[in-house]
Amino acid sequence: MGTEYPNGPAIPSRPVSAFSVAQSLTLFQSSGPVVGSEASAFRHASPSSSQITSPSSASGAMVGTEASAFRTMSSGMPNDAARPPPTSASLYGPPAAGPYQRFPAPQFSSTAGVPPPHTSLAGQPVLRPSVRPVSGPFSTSHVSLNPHIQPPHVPMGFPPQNASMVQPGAVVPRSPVDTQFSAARATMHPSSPPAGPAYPAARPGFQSAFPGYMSHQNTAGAQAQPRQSLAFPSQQGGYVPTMAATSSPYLAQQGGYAAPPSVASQLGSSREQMQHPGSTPPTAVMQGLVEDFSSFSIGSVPGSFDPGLDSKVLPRPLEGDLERNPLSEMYPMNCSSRYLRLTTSGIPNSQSLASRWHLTLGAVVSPLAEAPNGEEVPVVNFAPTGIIRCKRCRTYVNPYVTFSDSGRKWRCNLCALLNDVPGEYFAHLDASGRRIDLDQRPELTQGSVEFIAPTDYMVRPPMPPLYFFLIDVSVSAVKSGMLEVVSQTIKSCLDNLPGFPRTQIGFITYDSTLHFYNMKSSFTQPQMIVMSDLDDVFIPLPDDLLVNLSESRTVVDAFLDSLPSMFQENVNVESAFGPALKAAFMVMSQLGGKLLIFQHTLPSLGVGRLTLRGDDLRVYGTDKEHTLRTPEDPFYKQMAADFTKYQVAVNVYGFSDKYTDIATLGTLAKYTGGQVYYYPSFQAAVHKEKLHHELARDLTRETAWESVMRIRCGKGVRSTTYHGNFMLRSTDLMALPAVDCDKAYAMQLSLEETLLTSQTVYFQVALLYTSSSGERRIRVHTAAAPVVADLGEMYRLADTGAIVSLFTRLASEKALTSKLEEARTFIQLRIVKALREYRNLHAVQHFLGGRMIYPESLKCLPLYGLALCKSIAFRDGYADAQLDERCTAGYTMMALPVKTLLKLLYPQLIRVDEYLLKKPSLGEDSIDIWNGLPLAAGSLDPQGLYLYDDGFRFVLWFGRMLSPDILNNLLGENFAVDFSKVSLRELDNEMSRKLMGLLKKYRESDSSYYQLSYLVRQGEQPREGYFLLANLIEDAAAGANGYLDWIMQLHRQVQQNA
Amino acid sequence: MAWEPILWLIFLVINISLISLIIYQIVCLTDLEADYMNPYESSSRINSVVLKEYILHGVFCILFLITGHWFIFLLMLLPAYYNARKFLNRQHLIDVTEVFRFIESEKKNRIFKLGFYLVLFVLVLVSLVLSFINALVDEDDAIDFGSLPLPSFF
Repeated sequence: MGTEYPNGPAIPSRPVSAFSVAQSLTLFQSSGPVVGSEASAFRHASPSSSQITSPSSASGAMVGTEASAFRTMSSGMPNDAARPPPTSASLYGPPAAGPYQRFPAPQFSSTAGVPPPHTSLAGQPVLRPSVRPVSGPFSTSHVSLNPHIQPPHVPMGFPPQNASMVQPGAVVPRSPVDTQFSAARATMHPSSPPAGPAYPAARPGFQSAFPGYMSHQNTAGAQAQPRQSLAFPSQQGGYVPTMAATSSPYLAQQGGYAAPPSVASQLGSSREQMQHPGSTPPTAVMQGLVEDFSSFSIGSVPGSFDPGLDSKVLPRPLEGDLERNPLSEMYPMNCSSRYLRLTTSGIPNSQSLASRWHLTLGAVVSPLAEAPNGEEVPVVNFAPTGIIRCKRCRTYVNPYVTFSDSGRKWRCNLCALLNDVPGEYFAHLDASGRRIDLDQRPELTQGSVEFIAPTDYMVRPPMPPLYFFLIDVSVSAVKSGMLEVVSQTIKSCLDNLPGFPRTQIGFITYDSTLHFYNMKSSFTQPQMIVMSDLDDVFIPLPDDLLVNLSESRTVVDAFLDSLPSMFQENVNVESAFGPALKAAFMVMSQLGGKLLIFQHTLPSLGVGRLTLRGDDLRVYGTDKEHTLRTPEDPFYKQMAADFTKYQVAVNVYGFSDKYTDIATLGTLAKYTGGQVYYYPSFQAAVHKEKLHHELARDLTRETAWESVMRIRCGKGVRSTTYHGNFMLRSTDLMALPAVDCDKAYAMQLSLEETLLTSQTVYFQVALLYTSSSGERRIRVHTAAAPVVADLGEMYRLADTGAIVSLFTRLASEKALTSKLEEARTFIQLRIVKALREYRNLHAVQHFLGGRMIYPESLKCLPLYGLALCKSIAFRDGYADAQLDERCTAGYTMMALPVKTLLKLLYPQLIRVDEYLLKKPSLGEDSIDIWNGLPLAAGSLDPQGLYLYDDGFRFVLWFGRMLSPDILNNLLGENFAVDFSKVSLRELDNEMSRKLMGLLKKYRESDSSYYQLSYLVRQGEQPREGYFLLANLIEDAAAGANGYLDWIMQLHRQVQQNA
Repeated sequence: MAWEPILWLIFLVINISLISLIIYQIVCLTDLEADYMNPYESSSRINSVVLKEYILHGVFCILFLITGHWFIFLLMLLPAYYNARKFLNRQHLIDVTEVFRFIESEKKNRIFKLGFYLVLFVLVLVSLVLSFINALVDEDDAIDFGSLPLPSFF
């Protein structure tokens, strides 16, 4: 709900137009007598909106709690927007503004369903005195406040107040409406101080004039304050729910979803309404009238083009991904949401219910996600017994199994089969049926454990970590400096490669010929073998191309030292990539491992040679366009399949400034569980840091080798399709030659039975892998989710992050077989369907009018949908994104974990100049509480310095009027030259150190990619457009919708056939 | 005429081999679904017979044309067109990396084809029997085909 409230200073308030006066007059007369004066005051706002035309409907909507009060507020907005604005300051400043200010507060109290006499009694005394000292216009309205004479008067005073209530006033910094509101609540409680508190709270300036009311005001403040801090941590034009606020409803409703919640929990469940945990509970009248959804009002005054909606109030994930995990209290033994996220934690109990859930039932799994210190997954060794698993469904023992028969049997929670407990695993049960050794058994208390697998789980001895490098040494690769950076980085990482002393390593370089390196430990220098026969590739020395790193360390060092100089003079422009790939496959097929490909040019010789198809402009925009995003040559798919079969994961590094057909090369990574890195126009001077960091991370991060993953679902639920970078070994078994913490996999779920009879559905993800240390292990994540019978409950338990992640993957796959347009339509259609279903759900009980309603859990889904449509992978126009970048984005998004993906879709934009100017003593640790800004050009102030961070790069935007002092400090003598040639480095002054420290902090917060800083000056085209403006997704640009238009469009579509 | 039954006998043999090729592919796919076979083996087995099936079907088709059996030829043209289109779009082979995504549709296609060949099998068998009878009995006692409830496809 809070989303309706614009942020104070940003929203201009409006003077009253004749039209609205008339309107409010008539309306008032009809409704005024019924409720207290403030109520009538309130009503003025609503009737003026075009949506709620009749006063009765308006008041109907108002009955009840704050929620309804807010609702009405919202309907007032459009009308407001239709009028010309004065500044809000002016409203507040002169005494005349008093009444306007005052009215909003009482409005709430009356609407709260308290009988009229109460309100008027409560409201009167307070308001009167407050009014008295003020001058003429004020007193007029004061009279109007008097409930008895009120109806005739009010119209005069009121029209402006419509504006005032919508306009949250510059006086109160954070959501003033909210403050007023909470204060108002006090008034409606008979025992609480009269409406006074509301008033002063909203108008700090006023309070001082009435010392007598100070105490009230304080109480109001005390009430408002804690809630404010809870519910408005970021307070950017809307209300952002906090974990605390959202979790309460679940607690309250744990007992059963169908059971009518208490008043308190009702309030809680309608958290969108900004409930006040600490404040007086509403009267019984309000029960059942609380809305379960968030909304904002859309609908313009007839004849006006103004949408009546201010973009400031739209929901935004400015705090990043708020990981709502509503089930953590309900099922405390679930694995953490970093490992497994369901698109909705409420599993539908029937297929008909599932078919009404348009957001795809599914899960996103990141089995090896990085755990913060202290939360590492415990390792369990069942050495003598063997791993305890269900006989029928092969589920691993987990916290949700139940022991019976005094501990001799256990019942599988997935298939309900009663299994025997092996003798060695037996333990007595205590009185409550719990095993007495529970505290020593992490597998029975924690959702994530790791079992050490016995030899039954091996088809061969655990493989050693193996890294094989396939490096392009053609002229462009050498010239760009890629070769040098790569060899330096590899050398620097040799000490940190996992799995010492078993690690194996090998190299092949290629241009028009293949170069093998014999690095036998007895040598001091590597021996190079050149093969020029590309048609019939064979391995010259099958045993010595792949060597043990610790034994041959000196040879490897010598090789990496000499590699850049070896090809310094190379003038060969060809690239025999296909034959080199085949050779690498032959070398690696014995063991498997990780193949890192550094490709700088388009493969041009031998098998797998590719054409410059991406440069053919005629294909773009036609029905054949999607073929550019799929591999050109079936050779690559076949190779990828073979690589997976032999446990080889391929990571592709692309560097070229020209077309290199990442679409085809990326296939190798896609089906082998790898990753695609792309550095367009690589230049060592610019990209060195980035390549160094990312390659080093790739080499040194903890990796699971030769793994397979399977998800088991409880009875009645089945996983159907899988999405991500891997290949399926059988219908439900994912083959993952290498897995690491930066990979996530998504799957869709479907119901097998028409009706689920169980109360809970369990999911178990099992990843069988070989650790770098050479141990075979099984990582098991178990989670439980309730079965629900109500669609609203599914919406309440929805997880935007997982939904967006799944949508991204589905859309990426769609883009491979059809136009981008269709992928975007797919996203939009799904969102519209979901919102329409949600609207239908609530349209019966609530008067919705022209409001756009959405569940609180999905408040950012439309925005992410828009961001997805505007992301590099899906944005329209071939000129807007290079084909290679587009394909890279597609491959990358297929593998990204939820959190990184959300950051990429809605990057953070923060203003840093104020931070830099602050004294060091003040601002050091305040970095965490910084709030992002909406991604719109309107957020950029020419006097500011902004940092844009999407997890992959930083863009530093220097405003045109930024103080030269800052420029000088940050850039030294470079500040005047072309920014494309300037790189940011630490200078010897406080400000520069601070900025670099800041960037470092951001980089460390997620180190999966390295953010290179790009400096952009305001107005410097085309750099500014490319780096920043194209990514300000809330702005309408190049034929694409802005956020506001997008919402309007969704809203229109939702309303069709609603 | 003696060559008529022999011709139908050849048709029958070709038809049976086509049916067995299709059944072989369907079995491979169901084995893959049931996890009795890994995708590599399954798709390489299927891919090894796909082209044979297409060629055989083409030959079959042409044989009907040159022996003047118009109706069956036209009937055969439909799957031939389907095969040709798949071949020209390079979609005739099973893609091992995405086999599980398309397993349902691939199976359905092949079951349709199987049904088609089974219908053809009945036709060919009836024709064979009739041509045998015709060859054995006298010209004068020949069965009047017009009175049979069969389409006059021969």
